[in-house]
Amino acid sequence: MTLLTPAFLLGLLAIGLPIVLHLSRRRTRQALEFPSLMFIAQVPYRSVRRRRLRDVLLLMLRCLAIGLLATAFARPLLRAAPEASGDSRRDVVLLVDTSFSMAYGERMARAREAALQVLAGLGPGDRAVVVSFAERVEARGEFSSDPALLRQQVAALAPGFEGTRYSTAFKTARSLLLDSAAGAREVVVVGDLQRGDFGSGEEARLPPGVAVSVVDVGAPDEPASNLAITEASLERRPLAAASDAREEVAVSARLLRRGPVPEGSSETVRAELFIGGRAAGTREVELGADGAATVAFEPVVLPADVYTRGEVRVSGDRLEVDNRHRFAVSPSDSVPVLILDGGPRGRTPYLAGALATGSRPRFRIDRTAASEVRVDEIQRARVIVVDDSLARLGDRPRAALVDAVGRGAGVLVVLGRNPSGGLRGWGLPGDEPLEQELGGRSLASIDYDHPVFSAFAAARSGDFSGARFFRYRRLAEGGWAQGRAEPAADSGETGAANGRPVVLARFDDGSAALVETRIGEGRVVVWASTLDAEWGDLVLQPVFLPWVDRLIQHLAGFEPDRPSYRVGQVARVDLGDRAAGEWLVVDPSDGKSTVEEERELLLPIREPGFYEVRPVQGSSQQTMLVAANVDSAESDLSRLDADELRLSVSQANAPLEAATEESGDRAAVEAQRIWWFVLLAVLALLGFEAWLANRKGQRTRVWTRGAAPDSA
Amino acid sequence: MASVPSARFVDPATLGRIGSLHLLAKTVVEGFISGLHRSPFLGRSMDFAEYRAYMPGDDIRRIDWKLYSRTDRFYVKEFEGDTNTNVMLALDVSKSMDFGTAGLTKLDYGRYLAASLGYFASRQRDRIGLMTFDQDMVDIVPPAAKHLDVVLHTIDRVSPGGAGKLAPAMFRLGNTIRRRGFVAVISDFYEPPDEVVRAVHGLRVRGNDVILFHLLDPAEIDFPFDEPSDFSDLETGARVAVAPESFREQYQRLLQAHIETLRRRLVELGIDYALVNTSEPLDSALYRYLAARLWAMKSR
Repeated sequence: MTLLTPAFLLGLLAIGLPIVLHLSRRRTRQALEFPSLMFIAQVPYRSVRRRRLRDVLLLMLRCLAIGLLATAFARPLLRAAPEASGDSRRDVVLLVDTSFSMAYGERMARAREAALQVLAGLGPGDRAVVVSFAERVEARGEFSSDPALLRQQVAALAPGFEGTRYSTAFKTARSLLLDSAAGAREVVVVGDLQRGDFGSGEEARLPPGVAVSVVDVGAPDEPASNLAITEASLERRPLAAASDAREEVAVSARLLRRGPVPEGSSETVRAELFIGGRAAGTREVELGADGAATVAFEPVVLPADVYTRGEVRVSGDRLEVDNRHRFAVSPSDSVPVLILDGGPRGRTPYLAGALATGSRPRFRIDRTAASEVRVDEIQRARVIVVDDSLARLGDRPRAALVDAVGRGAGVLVVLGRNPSGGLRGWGLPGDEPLEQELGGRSLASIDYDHPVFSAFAAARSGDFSGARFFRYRRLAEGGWAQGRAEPAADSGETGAANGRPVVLARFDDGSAALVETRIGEGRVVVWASTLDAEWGDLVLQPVFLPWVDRLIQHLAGFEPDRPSYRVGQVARVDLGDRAAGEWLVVDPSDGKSTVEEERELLLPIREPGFYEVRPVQGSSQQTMLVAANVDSAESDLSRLDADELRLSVSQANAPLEAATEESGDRAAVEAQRIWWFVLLAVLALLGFEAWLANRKGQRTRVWTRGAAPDSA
Repeated sequence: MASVPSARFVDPATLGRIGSLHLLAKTVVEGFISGLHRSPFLGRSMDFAEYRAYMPGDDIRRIDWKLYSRTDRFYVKEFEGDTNTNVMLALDVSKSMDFGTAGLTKLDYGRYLAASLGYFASRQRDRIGLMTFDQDMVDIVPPAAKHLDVVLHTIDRVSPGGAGKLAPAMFRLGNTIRRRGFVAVISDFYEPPDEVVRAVHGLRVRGNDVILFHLLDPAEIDFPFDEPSDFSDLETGARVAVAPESFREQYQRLLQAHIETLRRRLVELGIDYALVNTSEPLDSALYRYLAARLWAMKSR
């Protein structure tokens, strides 16, 4: 035990006060006068001794109360250094690595054996808790001294599919040990010391006095060699015939070898492609020590309207889990685009031509005169381009257009020769004046953070500066947002507030060139010039094709399906426009669960393989696939130094006061609470002393002639 | 001893408010006597003894008018109490008497008792005398018929003395008294019974009628103390620490044994003994005195 404020122990000197008072009182206390001691003196001696004993008891109570009070204010702290504490009990936190690198060879078996040896070393009264860690940490129970239970927990340990994160493991160990009042506290780390995610910081530091030991089960495998497939990419091309619903998919995969080529093995690595469970190609590549290579398989033709499973496999090393890379080929996306123009005579080829070149997604383009468009055509489209023809829309098509935007469709309004006359309802000015510039304006201010322009932010990725604009409409900016608003979290979308236009690009005179506004679930983008070669030459620039492709994708809210996810990520599964209902989710282990969702399902990825999502009341044709793979970072088996690990989390010499100042240091708070009990003991003592001292029967007043009454 | 119901009208502590000892004594005695007139004991204690010639100053209510009608001379009735006996009051004024918890000290009670006895005796035509003593005689007023005022005055002036001892004072008293009479000793008798008996036996042997009034304060009788304390002897100053809770019973046993021994030894010698609790009115003590006086007169 230590004392936080030992100066208060000077209060112990006050113990002398009741002793002095006791002695002086004995000398000066006024005796009770009695006529004669004739009979009193005849009473046996023991009655007198008993009275003296009671006084001594009072004196001792008072001295003890003062002593305890001084001790309480000295703030005793019960938590001593383990070697100073008389409590020899040990509390051990056994951290066992269960990341997928532990599946290498016999590492997991060695780890279990090492953990059992640690448990076998526990003495009577010692306790341990088994904690498995990878990306996530799981305490298998609470501190226990039951050997059978602990052995059972160790036996159940198995490598998972996650990478290694040491910081969360030590943070968990720290919180477990803060509640421990044992004389000795230990953390034993059992693992392959694969470098992993070794985050540090104060939260990963263990409390002072905690012994850290490391059991390295990876050393016997050194030098470790591991083959892994880190990535698979897909190139999808629709077949030439527009009526063919199939597409051609070319798969390439990146292979990596960590470490040397195993003894007795060749550098040749055989990679196999499987589509729909059937072999679809084989490639061999030479991979030397710490080498990497990309293999490209022959394109395969796949149906474009259903999900297809794909997998690339390699073999020939001791860690199998990263030798397979899965991917899901989602149904080919096509975005219906409706272009409303002024009719065949006002039609320009550039927009439609640019959109026709896109493959991911594929744009299904319909074109009609604005004056002749039907409501159902508008309702079917995902994106409606109003090409200099907004004023020609009839009332019903216009209403349908407004309704479509509210339900999530995108509208691109291209301003040109004809006044728009219809933008006010969307918070945009109408009857914009026509501006002309003989020398031509250029785009001077572009929001490269916006998804429409983000692909062109890097150098040599698209240049808008060469485009010239000779005519354009000047849009009056009344209360518009300047610059990009904050995007919605994780959406990648602009934050154009509902009804509040945001300028995405400006001409060099400062006037707005491209403006976006969100209306309900959809968006409206206004381009202040034409998309032809008369008012400007943007359509002749190389950047035009990818830009208009991005623009239409953005208006459609299109997000391509990811071919695969990593374990630990959360997949966003687009459920489409189907009404809310129950969905069946089948994980790679064939575990089933049902969820009720609408539009989007968030699916946590826990293991590698294929997740299936389909409507409970639906056919297998409606099954969506999500492919999951392990994190290739864990495939790198390079190791940590054990001493480095140990020193980074230990703070053996940190002062106790620092420990007590740490927030959430519950054990320190508990260690100081003894002073409350000491104070309570003082109060109880004083209460008893007061009762003992004041206990009295009938008080007697003695009269003496000529003197004041003397109360006995 | 049976009490006289209607005479219990003044408690001793209240008597202290009566400034004049003479008046106090008169109040007590007249009240006592008026109670006696209504008492069934009246006839026994106030029998007619003889006639004598009227002298100026006699109470005219005592003139026997029947005898006057027969003799044309004034004669007054003499009752048995009117016997002109020497009544000597011996009042202990030692320090131990200066103790009291009932509103007055034993010494004050003794004074009131002595005054009342003196007044009563004087009313009985006895000759009154007084001796105060502690370890020896302190003051003495020889018995005489007209000494009531002197006696009362002497009583009024007493103050606590030193340590008390009965024998020397009683010896001196015995040598002072020339005629046999009645001796009333008022004390707390904190001496062994043998010594008390030895001290007063001499008076009895000389033919005196003796009555001892043993004055004790209620605290001395009940020992009501609970707190462990140092007890200090009023006379010697000696101190002893006492834990009363286990002490009381033994003390009371010792005290009762002392009282019984005194009573028995004194009765054996024909000496009257009256234990007087100073919290009780004086009439019981007076009654005891009266009974003793009457007995003494009949026995001669």
